[in-house]
Amino acid sequence: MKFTRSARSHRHEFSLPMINIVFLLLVFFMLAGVIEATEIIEINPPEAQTGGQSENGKGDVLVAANGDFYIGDRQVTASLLSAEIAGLRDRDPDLIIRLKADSNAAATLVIVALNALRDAGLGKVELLTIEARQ
Amino acid sequence: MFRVAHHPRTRRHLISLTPLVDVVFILLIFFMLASSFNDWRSFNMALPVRGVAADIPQDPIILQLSGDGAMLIAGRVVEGLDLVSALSAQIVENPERKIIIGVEEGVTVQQTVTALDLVEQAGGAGATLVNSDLAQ
Repeated sequence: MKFTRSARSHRHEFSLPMINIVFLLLVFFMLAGVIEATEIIEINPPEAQTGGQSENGKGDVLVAANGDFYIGDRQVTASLLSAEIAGLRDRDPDLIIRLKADSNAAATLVIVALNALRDAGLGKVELLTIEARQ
Repeated sequence: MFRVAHHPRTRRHLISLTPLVDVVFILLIFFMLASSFNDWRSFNMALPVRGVAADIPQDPIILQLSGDGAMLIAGRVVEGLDLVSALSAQIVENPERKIIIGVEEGVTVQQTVTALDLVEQAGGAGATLVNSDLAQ
């Protein structure tokens, strides 16, 4: 006795493993990745072996490699940084700033940003890094 | 009128496969492009002190970073694990001492973070960054 299969079921038989893999990839990217707003400029974050998990920060201050400062997606000059942050703090008194500085930026720029944050009356700042690749 | 009886094996699927695969592909591409795998970590930074004498910490541990990548404690170049042990000895001696990292022109953020990393490994927390001319 010989069983015959329809052409339709035969076609699906080949595509099912592909669909399985696509589903697995989809589940992987959904679970492993984090969807977050991309920065207006490319920041190459510094690497560190220690450092706690970043959880509390709300506002992002970016320090670009060329020395530009950004609050979120808005470019600000160093002289206006303090006033802008003070405005944000007035709206949210518990504001904790996350400082994202490019690893190739001059460290003195970070000091300029930290001075501005202190002048704005902030008490706590997180300097963001990523885990060093072994 | 005749009624055409559907054979059970050829009944239509409720969801046809091709649009489903299309949607799954689009979702996959969206998650591949939008997902970020950066594992953000953070150092809690102590904000720099104002230039008021009362605010400046007494007898701080000063770690100097020079533009050529060297790290100095009390004018002596120390590296890696030596720096960790030198710092931890000073921190254990007096845990209340503040740590100040002085940076020169030409020092990058990566060098500074490496120094913060070593300070944290030595048990120090909340180092303050200052320009070198203030640290001296």
